[in-house]
Amino acid sequence: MNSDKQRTVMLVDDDADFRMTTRAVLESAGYRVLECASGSQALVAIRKEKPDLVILDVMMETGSAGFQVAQDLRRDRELPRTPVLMVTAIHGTTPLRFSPDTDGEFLPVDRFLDKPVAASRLLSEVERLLG
Amino acid sequence: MSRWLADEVRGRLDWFIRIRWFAVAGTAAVIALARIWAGPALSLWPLAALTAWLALYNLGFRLLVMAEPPAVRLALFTRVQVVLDLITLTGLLYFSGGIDNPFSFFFVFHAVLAGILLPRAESILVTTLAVLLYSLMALLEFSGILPHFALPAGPHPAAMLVVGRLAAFAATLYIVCYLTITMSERLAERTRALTEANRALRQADENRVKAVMRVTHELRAPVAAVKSLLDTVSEGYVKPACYECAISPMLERARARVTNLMKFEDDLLDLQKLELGYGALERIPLRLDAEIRRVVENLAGFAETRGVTVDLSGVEETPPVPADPRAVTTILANLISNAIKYNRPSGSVFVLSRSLDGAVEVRVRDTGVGIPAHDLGRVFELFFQGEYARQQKREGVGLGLSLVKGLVEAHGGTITVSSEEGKGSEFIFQLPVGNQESQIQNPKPADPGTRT
Repeated sequence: MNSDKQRTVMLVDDDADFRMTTRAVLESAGYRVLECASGSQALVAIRKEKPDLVILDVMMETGSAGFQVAQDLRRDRELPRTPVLMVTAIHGTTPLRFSPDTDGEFLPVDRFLDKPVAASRLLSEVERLLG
Repeated sequence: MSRWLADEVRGRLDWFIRIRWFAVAGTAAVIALARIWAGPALSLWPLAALTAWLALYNLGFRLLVMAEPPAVRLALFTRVQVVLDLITLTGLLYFSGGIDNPFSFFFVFHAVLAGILLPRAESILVTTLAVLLYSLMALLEFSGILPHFALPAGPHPAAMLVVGRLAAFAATLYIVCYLTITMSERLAERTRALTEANRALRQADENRVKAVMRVTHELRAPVAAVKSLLDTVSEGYVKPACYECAISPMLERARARVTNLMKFEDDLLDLQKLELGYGALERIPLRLDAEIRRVVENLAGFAETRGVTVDLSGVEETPPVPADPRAVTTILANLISNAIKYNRPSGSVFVLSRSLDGAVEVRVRDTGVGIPAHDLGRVFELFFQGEYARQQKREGVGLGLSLVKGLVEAHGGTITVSSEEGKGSEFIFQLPVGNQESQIQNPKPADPGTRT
């Protein structure tokens, strides 16, 4: 870590198991981890906690709740620009292929990963985005 | 040959037969007119006999088609009819002036019909047969081998010739026009039906692809979670010293996800088997009140962890219903475990059973959040989950109620749901008592989908 200050990651996912494992991996690397189980609560929590990074699931209350959170997050001028790492299991099973390069307008996230994400990959992506 | 093709061939034969009645009526009318006009001098008996013969074999075909013969026989009828018609028309022409009779144009109909209805080679054959019959008649008359039956001349032979020609000309044109109109209308109708069927197939195919995607996702998500859980443990991201506080809960979650996944796969297989009609449902006399108590006993632990009480005071003794034990367990376990799962803390589940006229009714009522009115009609849909169900910890994917409905209906029963938001939901199903032999819907004895 470059900084002495402990970095905070907000985990937004309705899958408790994914939160459990991601938290364990991130904590092992020294991050502070906050959790949020729904898209509707995510924005409030992010505004309050101002995390350094958001890890966001796509399918929560609705099939695209994560997209809504990402868009609202980008529109909020009060918030410092927070990097978003989007993670989903639907990527391979929908006809749509999302990527931040092609859907920048629609999908304002910095990185898009398929579940399950290997721990080492997750850590390197988080480090890069916080770098 | 398919049922559809048989119907098609039968339709064409009906059409043939209808047209032939017009021919009979037309010939009879011409004979009557000739009789009035030419007087008894003219011998009309051969013509009358041929007309009677036409009516007779048409009636015969009518009766044969009505007797619903197999499709192969119908195809043969078509060919026999065409040949009989050609011979009869040649006969009618021969006895009414032979080559002088302008109604020889009527052979056009046979060429047209054969071209539309028969395979290419056969329609050429039929046309050739018409040409041969007509030429044979002309040659035999010309060479004097057969006597010539002259057209009745009447008082104005030249005028009659013109009238006859014009009548034949007009009749031929109108009939050809009628035939092509009828045929093209049939074709348009067929095209419309095919387009509609094609659209329905496309829709079904699209739904199937969507369902496959959904299933893939539901299979993949828990596998991804389990892999993450196991990787996190095995790659040492949790402190090995803290087995109880970190490793054990993760392994427990992995186990729970795998268990749910297997339940999902079981439901999915059962649903597919139900849809394909595989695996005959057993018919064993079952007392539903006893089944309810057994299922609730198995779910006691689950109810306890949720702090939900299951009230069985409304379970009355009911007569046995002929039912499949495994299916009944699936139906009851799904309904009762849903009632426990979607309840409020320290809520209650009421199970009631009673005997109705000819059926046994079971009600499963909960004191949970209820189902919003706009979702109520969809709860039995495949993969449908209410908002509340989705918020729960990834415990189901919306197969259970589809399966329950399918199983109840396969027993000849019915299931309904009612709900009040904030107060709870009630599922009511009825299984028929008594002789249900006729209602068994899965008669196939083979069970290729059986799990071992």
